[in-house]
Amino acid sequence: MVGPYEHLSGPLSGLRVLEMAEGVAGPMTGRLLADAGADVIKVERGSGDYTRRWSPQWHGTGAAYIWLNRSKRSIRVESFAAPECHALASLSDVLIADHGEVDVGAIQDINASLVVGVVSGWGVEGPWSERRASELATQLASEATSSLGRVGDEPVRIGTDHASMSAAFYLMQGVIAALISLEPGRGQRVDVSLFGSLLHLRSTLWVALSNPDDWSGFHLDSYLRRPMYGYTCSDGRLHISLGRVDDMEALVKDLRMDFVLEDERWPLFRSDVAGVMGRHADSLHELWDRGLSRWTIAEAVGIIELHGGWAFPFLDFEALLADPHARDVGLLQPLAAPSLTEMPQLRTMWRFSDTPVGSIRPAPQLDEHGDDIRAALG
Amino acid sequence: MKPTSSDSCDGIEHVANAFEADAESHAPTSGAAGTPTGPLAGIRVLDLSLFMVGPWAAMLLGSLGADVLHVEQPDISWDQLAANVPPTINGTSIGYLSWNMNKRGVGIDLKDEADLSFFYALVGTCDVLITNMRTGVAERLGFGYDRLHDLNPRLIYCQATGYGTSGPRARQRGSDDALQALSGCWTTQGARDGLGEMYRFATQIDGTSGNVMAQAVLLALFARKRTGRGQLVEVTMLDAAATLQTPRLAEHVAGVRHAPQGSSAYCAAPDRAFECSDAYWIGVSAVNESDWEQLCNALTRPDLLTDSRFTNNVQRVKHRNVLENILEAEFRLRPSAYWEHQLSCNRVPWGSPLRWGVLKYHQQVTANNYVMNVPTAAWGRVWTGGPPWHFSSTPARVFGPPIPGIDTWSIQEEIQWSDRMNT
Repeated sequence: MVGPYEHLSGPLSGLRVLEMAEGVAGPMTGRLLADAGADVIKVERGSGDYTRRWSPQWHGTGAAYIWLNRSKRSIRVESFAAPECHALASLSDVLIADHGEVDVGAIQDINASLVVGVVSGWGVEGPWSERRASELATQLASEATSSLGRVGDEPVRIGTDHASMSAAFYLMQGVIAALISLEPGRGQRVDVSLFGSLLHLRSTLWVALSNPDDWSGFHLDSYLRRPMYGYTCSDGRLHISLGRVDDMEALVKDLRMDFVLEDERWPLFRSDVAGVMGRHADSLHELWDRGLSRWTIAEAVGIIELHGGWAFPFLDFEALLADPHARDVGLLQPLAAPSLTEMPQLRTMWRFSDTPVGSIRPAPQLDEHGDDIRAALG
Repeated sequence: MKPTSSDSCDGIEHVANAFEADAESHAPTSGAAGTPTGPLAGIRVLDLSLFMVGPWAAMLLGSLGADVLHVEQPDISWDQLAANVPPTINGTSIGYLSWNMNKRGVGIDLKDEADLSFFYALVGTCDVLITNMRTGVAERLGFGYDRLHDLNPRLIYCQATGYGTSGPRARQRGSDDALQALSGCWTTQGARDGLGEMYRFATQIDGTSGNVMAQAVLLALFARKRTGRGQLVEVTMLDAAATLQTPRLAEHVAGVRHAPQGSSAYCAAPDRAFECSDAYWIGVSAVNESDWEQLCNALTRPDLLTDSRFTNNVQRVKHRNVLENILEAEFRLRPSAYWEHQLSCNRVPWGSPLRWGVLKYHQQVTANNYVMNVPTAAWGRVWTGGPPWHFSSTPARVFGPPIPGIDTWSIQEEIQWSDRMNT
């Protein structure tokens, strides 16, 4: 233990991280580091990270806050320039900061070895570098919302906070990479933005748009497709993908969809893989719906798999968490430690054979560890 | 053994060299492999993976400066690369092109004995091995973790699967579309009051799983600095898809039952797109109290600040419909240009939809190198994402994908391997 810091298990065991960030992206970066065994001290100003006040509340704290800030400790300060911040920075290996909220240069002057990960909305160069950003703003500007909904209608937001989460996933990579290359006494700064992260994740599409041989393929025409709702069985929705079906006619007959053979669209139907990748999926959709609606999901999956196709039910969150596989692998973990913010949590994402990660700890109450940390700082 | 396509590719190699020369005059992070400046310079990665998840992870490691060797079957036809997922450029799937940037190409037939001995020699020189084969296949072909760990105890062996190596779904196909259906992400997205829908650009969960895989490798490399040992690291698409949805799943566990609501956020309000008088949409977010105050200033509606229904975020989420109706009427009164100005002056977070044609030359994008136009060996110049991380002293890089197997001979020379040595 170095001053206020603790030693935990995992690949980042012994790594000391200071987090001066709020919302989703910065805290998620800190959480990923905490998941891997770093000791993360979250510094909160005033009434704390604003996600504490997000809806819904779980025993007085925002549910998202509890998941984004698990396994961290919290200290409350008046400002990010407070003496405790500087004292902690001098003992830390990593600082995670929101662009524009923390005087990064001043902190680097205190500790030149520090790896500083900074998250911004639009990137720290260019005309928008100081412009405020949000999850929705960056989803819209990166055209990420064009793969949902219908052209001309209200834009449809990607359900998860895709820009913020991806920025966190990338920033975590950048911080570890910088630590790997670290020379003693020479830290460095890594910048990641919500906007840039979404643009990077769409790289496949940028390549597709470069100079394609033929203007088709789900990477190109998804803009104009109708929404993908899956196919309708008698007891729910099903996603199908038929690239490996050898004999479409046999599959159709086994599904008792002989009416398709008489349909003028049969020549398209017999070679279409359906689903997201089916070139003619939009115009063939109603034929599939008509045929599949006679079957339950389980029946349809059985028949389609028999012919080499793939079929997956649309599971909602409740069904996902109750899924026998999810239960078997322990996707959702009960939390043993008694705390007001005790709440089941997703397991950590990586399995290490040599440096396994420790157990998940609850998210902190505001300033829950402030006294201990201040005492250790002396 | 013979490296792939070398005899038929002299002309192409020439073209590639011309492109490399051309690239040097561009941004420092673009163009040819050159001497890596990134944080992983000196690390060598053997990429045995196919399709997207593994290749994406290895592509990132290459961007960070690692020497990544992408393995393909020596006799693979170019129209079979990346399963020929459409569209194609010069007959090659754009999937192969985009997921194999920042790599060298090596041809190895893992079912051929001579090739396998080259492979083992190569493993001895590598720091990382990336695979996304089905459970049991690698063991059967002679490159399971135990075997390779004996050969090279410092090797980090990273394996991605759809669902893990045990459990009822262990043998099922893991793919972006399958995980979209199974992970429930469709429940939180769709038109207002409509059905939940899938994301039509199906590389969101593949890319995220690749990102998680790259994290796993980086964490193991960091641990190795201390322990001196390599290890087996496993990741699954299921974990990646679930963790990507952290805020929504947390809300679900806390009791929320999500239904599609267009552009509106679940956790905060107001946070949605509004239609302006000129029929343009503008996204506006108030995720905390100061945003909310600024928004009321921008709207010149200070009365909303004292409305008891809107006094804090929990109240505003509870009365979201009423609040959004008020704001819809306000935004419809004026054109988008007015609101952009008004929101900017009041420092309210806002954004409006941009399209690729604008984005690729947009000052904000070019100033940060968020997209790049990269020369390739046989497919002309292609656009792709620039490095998502900007390092102050170890810049990342982007260069075009390899012709499959093109670097086999030079790699054999570098590790001083020859098949005569072994016979």
